[in-house]
This record gives sequence, structure tokens and C-alpha cells, in this order.
Amino acid sequence: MDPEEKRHWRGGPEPDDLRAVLRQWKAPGAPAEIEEQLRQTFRQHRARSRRTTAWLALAAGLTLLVGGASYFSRRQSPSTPTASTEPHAATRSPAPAAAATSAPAEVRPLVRRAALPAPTPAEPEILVEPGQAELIARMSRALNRATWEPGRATTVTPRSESGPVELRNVDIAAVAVSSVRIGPVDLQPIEWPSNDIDLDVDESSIKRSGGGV
Amino acid sequence: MTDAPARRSDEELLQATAAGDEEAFVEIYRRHQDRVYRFAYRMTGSPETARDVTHSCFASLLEAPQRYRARRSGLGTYLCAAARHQSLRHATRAWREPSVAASPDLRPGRGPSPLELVLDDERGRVVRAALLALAPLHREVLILAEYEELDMATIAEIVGAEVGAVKVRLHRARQKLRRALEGYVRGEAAPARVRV
Repeated sequence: MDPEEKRHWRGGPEPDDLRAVLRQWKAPGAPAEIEEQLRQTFRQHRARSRRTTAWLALAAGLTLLVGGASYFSRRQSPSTPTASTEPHAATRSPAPAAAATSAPAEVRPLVRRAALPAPTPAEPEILVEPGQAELIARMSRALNRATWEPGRATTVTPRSESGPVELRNVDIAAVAVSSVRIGPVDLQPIEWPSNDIDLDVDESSIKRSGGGV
Repeated sequence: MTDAPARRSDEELLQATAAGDEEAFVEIYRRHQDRVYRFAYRMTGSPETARDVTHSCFASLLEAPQRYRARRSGLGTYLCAAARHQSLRHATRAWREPSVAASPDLRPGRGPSPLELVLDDERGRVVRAALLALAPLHREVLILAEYEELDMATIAEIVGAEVGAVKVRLHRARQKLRRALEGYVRGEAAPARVRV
């Protein structure tokens, strides 16, 4: 590689002979019509951007207008509770009368739940001896005569969540012990073991299980 | 007052253009039009294509001004890179599909030419044909180095390559061009035919 070629390899200037030949091709200047076309392009672009800006400003103004109107209408309506937009100093605690009137609204769900039909719990079967059954029946009749006089309308509020049950001219004893079944009962005496526990343990079993002191 | 925009920098003119100043935009165009148009013309060999490329490059300053980053390069370099990007498509298509008119018989007439102007035109036609016969990647670095006289770093920035790659392309472009214009370079009458 000769020194001239090395100079070209490093990106140095082209020798004058080739450069002079290259300069034989002269490029014309830019035609004037490009400038006029660019002026038109610029005006179109400016008009488009101004139109876009105007639409954006209009949309922002309308948004502010609608938002402000809804805000002020919400502030002026007294029945609607204000949200947290108001400062704490401006809020007032409700008057006692207002609190009292607002209380039933809070218990309404409970009342509604009580009106629902509750599942009736299964009555347990009671087994008593014949003598005990007669005694209970007698006591309940006496109780019925003393406090629950037949023919007197009474209202019983059950513990369950079912609705109120009204009883009229009902023998309360028959209702109370209706599920009592009277039948023969095996009266075998139960033999309880005495307190003297037999601690006679087979020592061979202890040895087999590996226990020991 | 008419020469007030001429004292402003390119960045100031761009800001004024973004604010809607038409004269600032025209001033930008007048500053850089020749380099952009000449480069596009030499890359494509077509004045119509060069006009479209030039218009598109300056219009991109309006449509997408955020593409130009002042800290990275000058506005002239950016516009040249934009012109290169658009010219390269035309040049590559024309180079892959050479027409009959693009490869004319470059044999000059025997005997001395009586008119100097005619001779110049003929030499220019030969050089144009030899340049358009180069590969586009070689052609662009040769145009930027020989006609626009840009340094290697700026050329590398415009074509988006390393400086070493630009030097290699430029060396090969010169070699091919020298072979193609052998007769003209050594002071002979004319090459037998452009060979690239």
C-alpha cells in the first residue's frame, strides 16, 4: 500500500485529480417553488394546531363549568350529607332530635329479619316415669289455673325469631307436655363401684410392656 | 428589522417556528436548503425526487419537532441525516432496478471537442453516471466527504455508522470511482466505459 493510498484509508482528502473530476458534476440549487410549498405547509400546520388548541380549551372550559355547577348544587342541597370536601370546622354534630328520628332507620333491618320465617327447632323427646308424668301434668294444670287461666287471651313472645303466637282457650298443660311419652321404663338399679379400687395389677403385663420403676 | 432572524441561532428559530412565526421557519429553510437539496439530488440523480425529499425534510420539523435534539447534533446535520434517510430508499430502489437510461454509453466522441461548455457538460454526465453506479452506502459517504466536505465524525453521525466503517466505505468508493473514471483522472481523453 503506497503512502497515498494509506492517506485515503485514513479518510484524508482526495487527491486533486479525482476531486477535480468530481467537481465537473454541478448540482443545481433548490428551486424556489419548494419555499412556497413549505410556506403553505406551515400555514396549514399552524391552522390545524390552532384549531386543536381551541377545541382543547373549549373542552377544558366546559369540564370546569359542569364540575363547578355540580359542586355548588351539591353544597346548596341541605338534605344530602356533604362529603369530605367541607372542612372539619364547618361540620356540625346532629341534634339529638335528629339522632332520635334517625334511630328507627338503623333497626329496620333487624325487624325485617325477625319477620322472616324461622326454622322451628325439633322438640326433644322427654322420657319420664309414669308417676313423674302424672305429677308434671298435675302441676301444669295447677299452674294453668293460677296464672294462665283458660279463656283469657294472652300473648306469648317466643324466644325464637318466629313471629308472635297468640293462644286462645288452650289448655296450657296439654300444650306444654304434649311431647311427653309415657311408657314402661326399665327400673334396674345401677350398681356403682365402691371407692375401694382394686389395684391388683398383674405384674407380668407390666414387665411385658417394658414399664417399671 | 428584516435581517433580525438571521442573527438568531437555529434553536431560537425553531422556538419561534413552534410559536407560529412563519418567517423564522423560512429562515431555517434558507439556511439549509442548498445542502439538503444538493445531497438529495446527487444521491438520487433526480431533481423531482430531490425536491420531494427536501420538502419532506423541512416539513418534518413542523410535524415532529421533538425528533431533533439540539444537544446531540446541529440542525444541519439532522436535516442531512433526514435527507439521507429518505434519499437512500429511492437510491437503493433505483440501484437495484437499473433502467436502460441509467447506464448510458459513456464513450466520448473521438477527437477534440470545439466547445468547452459542451465538454464540461459531457464530463459532468460521465461523473454523474459513475456516482449513480456506486452502491448507495458508498455513494452517500463520497458525496458527504467530497461535495459537502464534512469531517468523518459528522459523516458517521449522519449515516449512523462508526467512523471506522465510514473510512472503509469512503476508501472503497474512491477506488471504484477511480477505476470508473480512470481516463479522466489521469488526464486522458475519456474512459472506454464506466465500470463499477
